[in-house]
Amino acid sequence: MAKAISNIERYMPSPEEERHQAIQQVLDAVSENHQALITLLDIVKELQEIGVLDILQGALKNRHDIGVIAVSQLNKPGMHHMMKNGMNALQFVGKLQPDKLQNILNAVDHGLDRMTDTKNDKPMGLLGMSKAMMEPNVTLALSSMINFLRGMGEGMNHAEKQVH
Amino acid sequence: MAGRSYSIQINDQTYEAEQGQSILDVAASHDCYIPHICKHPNLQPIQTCDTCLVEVNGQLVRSCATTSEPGMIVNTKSDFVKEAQLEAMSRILRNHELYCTVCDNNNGNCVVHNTAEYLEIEHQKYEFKPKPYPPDLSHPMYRYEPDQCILCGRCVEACQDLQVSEVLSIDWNRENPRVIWDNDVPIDQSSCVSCGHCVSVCPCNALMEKSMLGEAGYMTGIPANVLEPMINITKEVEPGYKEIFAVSEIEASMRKSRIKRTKTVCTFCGVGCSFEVWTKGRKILKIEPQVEAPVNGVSTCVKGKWGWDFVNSEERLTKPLIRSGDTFVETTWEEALTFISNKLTEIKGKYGPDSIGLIASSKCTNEENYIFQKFARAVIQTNNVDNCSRYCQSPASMALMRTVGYSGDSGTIQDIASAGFVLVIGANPAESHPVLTTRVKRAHKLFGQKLAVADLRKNELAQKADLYLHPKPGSDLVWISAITKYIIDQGWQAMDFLETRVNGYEEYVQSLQKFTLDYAEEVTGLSKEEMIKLATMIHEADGTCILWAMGVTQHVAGTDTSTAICNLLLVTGNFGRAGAGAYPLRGHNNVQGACDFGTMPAWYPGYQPVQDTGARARFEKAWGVTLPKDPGFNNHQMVEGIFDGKLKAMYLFGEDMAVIDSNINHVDSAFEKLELFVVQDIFFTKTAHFADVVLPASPSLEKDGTFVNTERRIQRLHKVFEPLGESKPDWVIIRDLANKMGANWNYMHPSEIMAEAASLSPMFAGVSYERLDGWNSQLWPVKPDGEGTPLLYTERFPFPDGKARLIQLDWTPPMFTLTKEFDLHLNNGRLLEHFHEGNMTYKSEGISHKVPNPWLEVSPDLAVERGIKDGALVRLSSPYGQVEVRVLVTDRVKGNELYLTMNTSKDKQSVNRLTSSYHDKMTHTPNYKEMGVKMDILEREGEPPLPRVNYRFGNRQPQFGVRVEEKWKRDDWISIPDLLGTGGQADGQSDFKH
Repeated sequence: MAKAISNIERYMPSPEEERHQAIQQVLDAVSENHQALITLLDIVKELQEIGVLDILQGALKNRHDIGVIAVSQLNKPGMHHMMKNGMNALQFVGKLQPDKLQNILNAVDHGLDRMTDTKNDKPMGLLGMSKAMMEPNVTLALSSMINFLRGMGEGMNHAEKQVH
Repeated sequence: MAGRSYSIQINDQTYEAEQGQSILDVAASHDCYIPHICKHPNLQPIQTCDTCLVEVNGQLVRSCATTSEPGMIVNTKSDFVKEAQLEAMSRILRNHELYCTVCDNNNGNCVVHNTAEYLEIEHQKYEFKPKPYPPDLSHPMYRYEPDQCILCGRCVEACQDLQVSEVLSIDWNRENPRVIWDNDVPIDQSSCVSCGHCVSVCPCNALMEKSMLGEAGYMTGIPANVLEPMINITKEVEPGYKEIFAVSEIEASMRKSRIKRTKTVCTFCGVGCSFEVWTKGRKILKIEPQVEAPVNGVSTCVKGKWGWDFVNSEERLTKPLIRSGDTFVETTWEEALTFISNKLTEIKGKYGPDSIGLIASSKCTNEENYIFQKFARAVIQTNNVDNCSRYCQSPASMALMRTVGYSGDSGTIQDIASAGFVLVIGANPAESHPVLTTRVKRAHKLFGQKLAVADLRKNELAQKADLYLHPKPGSDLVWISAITKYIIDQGWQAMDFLETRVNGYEEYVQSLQKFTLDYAEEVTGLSKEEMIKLATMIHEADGTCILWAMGVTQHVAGTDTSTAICNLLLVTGNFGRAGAGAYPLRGHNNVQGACDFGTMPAWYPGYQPVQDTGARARFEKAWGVTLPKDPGFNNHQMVEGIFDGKLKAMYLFGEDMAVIDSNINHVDSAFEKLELFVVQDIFFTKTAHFADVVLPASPSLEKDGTFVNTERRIQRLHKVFEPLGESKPDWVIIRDLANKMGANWNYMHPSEIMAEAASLSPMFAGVSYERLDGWNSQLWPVKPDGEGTPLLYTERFPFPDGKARLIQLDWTPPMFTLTKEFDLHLNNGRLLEHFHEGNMTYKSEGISHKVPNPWLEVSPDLAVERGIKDGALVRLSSPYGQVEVRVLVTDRVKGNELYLTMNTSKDKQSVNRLTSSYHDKMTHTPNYKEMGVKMDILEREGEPPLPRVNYRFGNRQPQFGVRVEEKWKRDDWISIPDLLGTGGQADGQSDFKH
């Protein structure tokens, strides 16, 4: 003889019980991971001593304000240029063929050696210079430079036509 | 469909192609990737994005819309093609800002992102310009952001030609085209049915689920005043898109570890849509349908896409409850199960096992139904076990079993889509089986399928139909028999088929004598012309499918009318062939499976009669017990058994019987008489109010298992969440209770239960979890090697002689006549937005925003006659009870016929306060659809029960697809071949036609 009823007496754990349950869960986790926790505590201690935690705390508590300041600082033409130049420079380095660059750098290195060699440090007259122009090594370096200028000029021309 | 095949060459590789396949499809079927954005596998070619341009004979063509031809030579990789594709992609990016890392759609499946990355696009060729429209956030479930919209038209194609809701279009004639809803109204005020198709097919983040926003990404929840400058910085300093993609890819893969994607099967109707559920912790981010889903592909309806909030509802039951005086007290599982076990044992000892009745759930899994009937038969020792198919589909099942043998749909959704003619009788599938209906609407709109609807209400499908019939309530058997007779009289019957495959033809023809068109005209109110037209449509069609539901079955002659449908299909040879057959539309996700797996008083799993000694011996041997020999009580008989003092205890799970059974005042007083009533549910339902013990169960998203859909397709659902609180999956509860009563069952996973069921039922011989993995499915009967049967009866009917049977019928008039007092006919049923009585779907805020209440549909004529308006409050009374509801005046109903929606469990509004206990004479399914009522007016007008933001008040804009021709006519449009100076056909001329 059961009439329809809709009351439910829910068992509500008291705040004490809830706290006790939560603490028990934490303790269980601690005992399972005690070794990792001891190491972590040591790291935390070091961080506390050198003040890193204070800085982090400040930054986290004010993360929204800092975020707004940071992005608005970054979101300025100067910063855009810096970031873009940085990335372009990286890209440039990425494009260079390592063996070619190595040859050229070796050559530059060799050139620097010669330049700083004390035996060659007496001034060269005009005649000396024109004589030097006849030397195969100097001709090779100069014509390489001229070819470099040629290529760069082509690149500049091409860039002017490109539309973004 | 399958025409001849030939080979074509793509990039020097030779590929097999089927006649009519586009170049893109040929490539895709051989894993040869051609970029594309607007083409979607479930949609027709749209031709807006141009990223699929390829070279054929030196000309650029769209591979999505160009049909392959024998010997065709295609190049997809030349510089020329690459340049064209890059140009196409650049045009898309003019409409779309790439800020992928901070975009909620960056989940590895963003089509725009992936295509741009594949094409190695480096720079923005055309400057991105925001469109002059704010985002549309009006709809509760999804948003449209015009600034991110690439105008590909996938959403429009999906809405117009796949879902066929015909709401979305792109207005190409304005300076800045955009997607518009209806004639450009806010989304919430449009005719949008919230099915989610547009959101699911959007290739970027323009259309998104609101539940995803700020949730999916690691950085997408950042406040706007930090986020916007960040996007700006990214744009300013970006060296090229490659680097952006690299970062976004890393971020997308990081998301994988916290967004879980789980395949499940929908529980909101019998169609059996499957999809992924994306979750973060216990939060549902979205429902993501996939092309691989065997029934629905990317289709969903409003409930499947957005109706899952109930899973995390505060109102979920999380602890067992025991009645103590006039309150329920929370208790432990141990205590609850001990109590039930002791009490059941006591009652069984005192009154015998047949004093206990068990009602299973058509919402729960096959495994749960199997273990429950095993519990009833092997532990309790009774066949008093039934499920809620008794309230809906038993008459259809009975009719099928006695005519053609199998209690299930003849074929699949593909057969319905490919039928020449679809006839819908007594069903409103556009609301009750929405995704299945999209296939009918699509075939009718695009592929010339003919459609007729016979229903009291001019429902959505009826409005689209070539022929709409409005017969008098309860008269369907007469006109169906009359057109069958007319077809025979015309000599249109399938004589070969009848001679070789059907028994009882001559006698059946004799029995039709009475059903002349004149007689039918008089009884049904249909004109002879209408009936002849319908008969002619069946005669002329290449394959007829008949779909029916509660409008046929919930009558005193529900089984007979269903049988008349089967007779008609047999006479016209519409069984055992593709694109034809009988399709009783199963209403619940697993109403088919509950019956298949034996929660029926007369059948073991796999439709093996309990009276069959061979079958019984097999189950007795497997279970190690002696089993009761006689069929038990069905639902209806259980309620009567309580009044007779035969039934003393009931155990019910996953069924709100106190709301959905007919004549519930009567049912309620039965429940009050029980000595023990156990209710197992996810919510504290109306039925649970009568219980002695209430057990908290877990819904589908919290368990593994399988369902069988209306097609007989067995599909696997996977656990998304752990059970909430102390709730448990139903099979676990039943196992534990059985063990408490000494059963000693060791099932650890539902797969073990399925293995047992398959080993005992020849029908499911080859069913296994391995074969059902992922998107795989099996349609019963399943051979031992796992091969299923998508189409039944191709060779024989499952009777000893292999022949179907025509059954002679007479008409039983409905059990009501309008009287002076009860002068209005009351019809009732489901509606699109809510599942059944709404226990689950009201928990979704968005759905409740669209439909907060039930309502009573009143015809304009009756409203004028009674002097009432929208929002009027009326009291309906029948001899069994009364309700008070608000009125919606609509021409969906006619004359003195009312329609009350069933989406409520409130006492004062439940339709079953009015219905009677009369029932189908063969199956005891209540005659819910036969009721005369009286209407008293309490308020002449008032707040309308349906808010203006409901789709029913919208203004649909039917058209074919996105109308890309209008885009090509724009002054600012230059075809890519023209731009590149190569000629070709990218101005839109192609051989693709709608």
